[in-house]
Amino acid sequence: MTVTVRLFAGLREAAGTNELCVEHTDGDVSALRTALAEQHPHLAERLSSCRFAIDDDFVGDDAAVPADAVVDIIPPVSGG
Amino acid sequence: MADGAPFLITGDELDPAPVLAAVRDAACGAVASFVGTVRGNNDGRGVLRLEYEVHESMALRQFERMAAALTERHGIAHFAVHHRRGVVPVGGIGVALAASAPRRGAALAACREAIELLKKDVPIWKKEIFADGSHRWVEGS
Repeated sequence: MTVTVRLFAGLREAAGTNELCVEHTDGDVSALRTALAEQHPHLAERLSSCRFAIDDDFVGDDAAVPADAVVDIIPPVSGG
Repeated sequence: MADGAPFLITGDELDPAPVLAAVRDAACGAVASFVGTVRGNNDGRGVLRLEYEVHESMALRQFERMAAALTERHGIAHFAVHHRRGVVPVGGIGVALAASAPRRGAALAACREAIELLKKDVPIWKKEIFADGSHRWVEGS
């Protein structure tokens, strides 16, 4: 299946786009993280420090990624 | 009950007064607040301005979750936080937050924890624009 991921801040700038499509065969966040790094190797190092979110909530690496999910990749935050 | 929006992401200049008003309560004897302003230098470099990027729907959800956690841990009555998006000049306000409680200890402790939670778990990022025209995304703070 294809998963849409949204990118923010430094990761968005490094990728040169706000959104990527990832071919993703297994169903969890950990597998998505691996697929993303393999398909976009120049982002791999930054991805290792990012958290993932689905439906406005952080999700752990063992969380399921539904087929129609939009997954947000959250670089280390710096608000305030 | 308090007046005004407790949680706000805005491109307009921030004013602490509505944040304080949002937590005022006749049952409370204390309102504590924190205001974050843009510093004109970082790591020895001159900063011209900041640009905040916000994942708005998630940031607002995180504010609600923060309020629930702070209420649970400190017994505060109300919590409010307003945060900027877009360009904020040096000296401008990036964030204003406030908590009210029957007594000062809870209100002060909740504010202290709130700004740390915000800097850890709310999807907002700052880009520093330097005097030489270069920029840098701040990651973690």
